[in-house]
Amino acid sequence: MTLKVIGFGVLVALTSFLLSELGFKGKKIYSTLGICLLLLYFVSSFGDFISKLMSVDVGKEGGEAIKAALKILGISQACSLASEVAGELSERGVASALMLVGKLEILLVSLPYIEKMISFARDLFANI
Amino acid sequence: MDVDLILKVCGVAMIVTVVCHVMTKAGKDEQSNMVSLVGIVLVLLLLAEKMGELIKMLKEVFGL
Repeated sequence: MTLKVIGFGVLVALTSFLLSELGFKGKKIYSTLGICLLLLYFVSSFGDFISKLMSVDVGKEGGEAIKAALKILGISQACSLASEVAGELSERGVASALMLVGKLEILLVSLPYIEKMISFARDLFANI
Repeated sequence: MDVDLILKVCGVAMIVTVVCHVMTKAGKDEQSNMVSLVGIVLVLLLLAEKMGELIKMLKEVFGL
């Protein structure tokens, strides 16, 4: 699988360079398409593994924590992808806004666990 | 892995570029711009389709 991915990546980079040399105006869109195809392959290959990880029985709270962790991973990957696509198309403002949205969403998802940590710390210091 | 797709798109892009160059040299700038625009729109449509698939897959896999 790694060799396929490496070969595909090199092919996209080379053809993108060739198109820029020929003067094709949509060269950046073409390289973005290559990135999307690579990521589609990656997500479809690891999709089964991640689904199995989400269905692992580690108790109710443990299961929810694993789901939250995987959700955070998914949000970070989706936002970084969108941000890279925007950066590739030279839209730095859009890229920064997308990263900010991703960070805020990750914070929102992890808020219940932060609250639990704070209450745990409060109880710990109350008992000392 | 969609190697065929990326090669097809590369082929279409190269044809569009060559046609644009030929038309520009023949003095038909407007038509050359139109052909270039059509090529970009084609690639954009494919990109939109694949982005949609990718986002759908991310939603399914990570439960977003």
